[in-house]
Amino acid sequence: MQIALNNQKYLFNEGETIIEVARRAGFFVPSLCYSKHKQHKASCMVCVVRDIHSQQIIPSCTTVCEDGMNIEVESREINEIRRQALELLLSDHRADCEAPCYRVCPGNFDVVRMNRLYDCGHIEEAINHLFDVLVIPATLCFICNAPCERICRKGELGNPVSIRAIKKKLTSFARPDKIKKQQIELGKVIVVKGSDPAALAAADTLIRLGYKVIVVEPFSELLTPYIAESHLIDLALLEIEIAVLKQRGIHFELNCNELPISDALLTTETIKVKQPARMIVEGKRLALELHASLSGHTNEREYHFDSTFGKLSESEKGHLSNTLPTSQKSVESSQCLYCDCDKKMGCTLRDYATIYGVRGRKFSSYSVADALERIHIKGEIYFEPSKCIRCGICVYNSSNGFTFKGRGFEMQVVIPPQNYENIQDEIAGLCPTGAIFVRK
Amino acid sequence: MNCSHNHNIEDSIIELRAKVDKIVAQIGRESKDIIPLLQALQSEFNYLPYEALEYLYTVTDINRAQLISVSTFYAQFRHAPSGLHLIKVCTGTACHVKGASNVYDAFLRYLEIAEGETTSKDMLFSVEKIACLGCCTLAPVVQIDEKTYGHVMPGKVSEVISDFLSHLKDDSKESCRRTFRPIVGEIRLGMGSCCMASGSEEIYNELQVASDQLGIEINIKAVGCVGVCNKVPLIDIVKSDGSIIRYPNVKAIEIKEILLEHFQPANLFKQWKNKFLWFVDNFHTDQTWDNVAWKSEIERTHVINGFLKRQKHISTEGYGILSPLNIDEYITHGGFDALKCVISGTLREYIVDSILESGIRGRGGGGFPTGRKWKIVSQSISKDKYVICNGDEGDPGAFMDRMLLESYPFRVIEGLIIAAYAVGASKGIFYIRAEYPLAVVRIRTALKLCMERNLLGSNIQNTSFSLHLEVFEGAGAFVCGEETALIASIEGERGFPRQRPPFPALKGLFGKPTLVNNVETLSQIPYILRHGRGEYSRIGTTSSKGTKVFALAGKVNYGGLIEVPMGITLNEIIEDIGGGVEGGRKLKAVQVGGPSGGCIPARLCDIAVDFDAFNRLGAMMGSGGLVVLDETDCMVDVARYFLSFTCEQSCGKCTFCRVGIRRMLDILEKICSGKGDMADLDLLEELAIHVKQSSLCGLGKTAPNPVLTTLKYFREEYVEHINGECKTGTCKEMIKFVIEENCIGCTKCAKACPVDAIEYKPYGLHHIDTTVCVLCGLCVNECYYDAIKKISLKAYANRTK
Repeated sequence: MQIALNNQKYLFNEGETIIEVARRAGFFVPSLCYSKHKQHKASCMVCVVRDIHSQQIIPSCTTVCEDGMNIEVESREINEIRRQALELLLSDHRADCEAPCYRVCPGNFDVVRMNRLYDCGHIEEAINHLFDVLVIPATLCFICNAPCERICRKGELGNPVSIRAIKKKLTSFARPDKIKKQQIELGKVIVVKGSDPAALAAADTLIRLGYKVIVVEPFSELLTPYIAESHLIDLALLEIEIAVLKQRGIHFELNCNELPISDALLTTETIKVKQPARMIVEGKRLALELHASLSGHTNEREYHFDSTFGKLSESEKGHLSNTLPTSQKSVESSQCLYCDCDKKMGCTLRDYATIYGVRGRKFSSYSVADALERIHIKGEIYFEPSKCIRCGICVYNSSNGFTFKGRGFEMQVVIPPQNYENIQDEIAGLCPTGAIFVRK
Repeated sequence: MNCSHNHNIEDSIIELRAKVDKIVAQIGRESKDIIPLLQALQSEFNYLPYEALEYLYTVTDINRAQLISVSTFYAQFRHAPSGLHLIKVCTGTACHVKGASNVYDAFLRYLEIAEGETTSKDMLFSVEKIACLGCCTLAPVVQIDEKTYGHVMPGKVSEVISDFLSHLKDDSKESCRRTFRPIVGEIRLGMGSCCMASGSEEIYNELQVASDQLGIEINIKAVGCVGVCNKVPLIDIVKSDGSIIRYPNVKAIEIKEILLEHFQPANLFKQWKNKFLWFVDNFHTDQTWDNVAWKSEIERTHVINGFLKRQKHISTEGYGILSPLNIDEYITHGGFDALKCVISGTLREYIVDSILESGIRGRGGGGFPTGRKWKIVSQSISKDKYVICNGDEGDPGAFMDRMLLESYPFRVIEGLIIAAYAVGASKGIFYIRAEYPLAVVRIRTALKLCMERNLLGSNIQNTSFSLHLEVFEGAGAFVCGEETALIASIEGERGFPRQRPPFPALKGLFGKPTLVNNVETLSQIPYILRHGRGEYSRIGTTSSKGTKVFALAGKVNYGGLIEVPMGITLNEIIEDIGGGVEGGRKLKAVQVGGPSGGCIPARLCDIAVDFDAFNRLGAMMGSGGLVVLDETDCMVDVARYFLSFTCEQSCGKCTFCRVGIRRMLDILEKICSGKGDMADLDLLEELAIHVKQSSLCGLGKTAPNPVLTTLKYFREEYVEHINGECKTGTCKEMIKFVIEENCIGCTKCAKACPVDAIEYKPYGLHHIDTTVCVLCGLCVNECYYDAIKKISLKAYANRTK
């Protein structure tokens, strides 16, 4: 028995669906609500194809192949429909992929990750994350105007998370003597001119790549104009930060106006941005570009779709201020809401949105579910209804567990507490979004 | 501890459990029985009490997940107690265009129900919106418990409530009649839902009382819906010589006079006494001046004759004569002839071919050839097959199925039996929506009568053919009109449609081959077989055969239920049958086919009624609502209205229908509130096309039709809205009410205003506080001097400058 997919003939077995044959034939067919060998009903409609005979748009996941079928699996129009299905699902997906603080950080620092590590007591990992991304974290974040704290959702409920204070605290815990010296693997010497944040970031990146790095500063102090201009810089912490850099193996030449002999010179004069944290990013970029020209490697930054839902509604505010877990109410914790998604790296919805070029929100985003409401099911399984796309795969594959409530746009997937026990871990793997997840 | 208190609670739980046990014993304990079980629980307790449900889990196969899933899908089920009396405000199309949402608001205000609530504080009344009560010709319609009120304007709310409460007190039972004297004639009275809403029951009782008092021995016969809904209560006097005299719009007070006009009272003394009392009764009143009995024959009936002239009765054969539940009468009029003929040895293939060749197409909406469906089911090999009569008519603005089930139950049953015989099914189900209580009762009774006559059950008419039919009450979900969703609901699931193929004809109810036909389709079957396929296919157009029943409503002079041959034009229907547009206004469009249909503009209304012709215009036959719209109707609002209906009725399974329709509605609401821009129009169109193309079932595939047709034929109105003007003043967010200089200070508007937005200023120029005004329009109706005007926001801004 044969079926034509984009005018190519393929054999199929009795009972096979179009998606099975198409994927076997190497076509990329996205789908959210379907998983092979699992119970499912066509819902998400991102797997749609066109039946050429009837001109109908049909879901490939539930349509059983019939002999002589002629199917359009890929075309501009099919992609348009798939993209629109994704846009519609995302308009009702009241959730952030990345936390707002990360999104606004000019230094691309994942604040929530730091907070999670901090709250779980993984102090060393938190410090590493901080130094890896921000190079001179405590100093940098006090010469930065800290948009992270201004956009922090916690601020809508009262006070924002004291992100900078946490960074300061973590930096003070740093133990430069424990830092391992970087191996000079590439053998080449690079001179970095100046010691502004960009230069320090470039130096840090290059030493990590395995170059020998010399920072040449004409003045007697690193970060010369910045230290003079800011009263907020804690010099004791700066000392720790510099000690970390030195420990990695960077040589600092102060009061030096002569450039030593080197394989390459990196200067930050070309950088136009003034925002200190942005300069970190730019410095890293220059370093990577230099590395690329020296080694022939290329670096392309990938675009990632990022779902965002804006401000909290009144009901969400009420809900969140009542449901902060007690452990988070202690002074020691970061008090972070963890706005980002636990599944941001394994989310099929996000991946498809990226692939099909969904950008921003096309539709109004009124939604039934409250953002950031997280239900603890059992063990490490959580359920976050506002991320649910109502595909029902968890409903059809749990017995007396998840269920639908209501109908139409108001329809929600719910789970009554009495049914928590009936849930197995594998359900989280079936969920195409971060709605059901296992916290690591 | 209060021991007796605890005992009381325990006792009440034991009592509750006993009730649940009894219901389960009656209905069943399998998970497929969930809907009938919940219906029974709700009718026992008024809602679904938590304790009863908890107990249900322990005594049935139903689990928590299924219960939440099913009970929240169907609109019928309540998880909290409602008020003692339920006020259902119909928001069907006809009612909507006549201001139903104002009526709903008026009830909330009158009963002082707080925002977001639906029940009055004293728990006496709950108010809810309902998709359609099927009394479109009496719009706006309100039903309180079983009593229906027509033409309820916002100002009449208090009247309606007090009338309802007063009727509660003297709830008299129908009295039994005994016959002593020879019967001198017959009086026929329509008793469909619309007729009842217009007071037919009162007339029926009065006829009994009056004829007893006068000693006139007549046969009072309640017949089915007469279709002339605008002229009911309508009585036909059939004299002993067989001649018929017709009286439309009769009032109870006129009954005696009508009787005296045509029949001789029993004896001279009674005659004299009655005449005298009658005279005294009316001596000081003028109520008889407008009496129907005084009007000439032509004056009384020419409207009705015009209304009936262009019609052709197939589904409604025996119209105005047949008493709905009189099986003998149905048989005398040729009823069951077709059935008896086919089961006495006609080849099944021959019946299927007859249906195929008659050219009949399904009346439920899609217009799929009925014979083709029959053929597939009859050819599929299976021990068990099912037939289902789809009576889940949910279109706001359509009530033909209800009327057929109520008034011609035997014809529909006969059609279903023939269908079952032809396809080889031995089990069948009447799926009737619970909002049609009268239809459910009549079909149940009719089925029982058929069983008694061996027209149903085992070995029908001593043949080897057996068929068992039962009634399944739909629980309030429009999507269940879709055959696969309907099947899912019978199986005890959410009404999620399934993908076709496999078609139900091959794999339907419980996985068996299942024939699902619409009520109206089935009602045409006996005619086809009795008169022959040739005769049937002579009626209609090339591609659409037979007749179609329409609910003609909206801004038309004479609305009602009409059965017309296919091929008649819309203009003919409106002008010849409907008597033209109400108030002599200009026709703007006809909305055909409800939420899945579209708006056909006046300039195209010479189109013939035909499945394919409607489809070509982007509209659809749908189930047959015809709502006439005039120049005062806003087409953008009409589109928004239908979309808000489909949005609420979407099952939620597939993305395009669930989210797509919601987003379309968001855009329309933005446009209707004057905040839209031209880019919204393009986005709306793009989305509408994708929803139509890519939704899984018929509901989603047709839901964009009202938007697409209005965008196609009335785009300029959308542009007007974007430019900040709703010319008809329908879109509330774009208008304000103001009082003009010609106000004489009569204070009527101030008295009428339910929210005190108008200050009481005798002889002074009145003023509306627009921040308080709820735009209900009561003041406009009250103002004798036409001083209150609706003006656009722009004009309002200029005024206040």
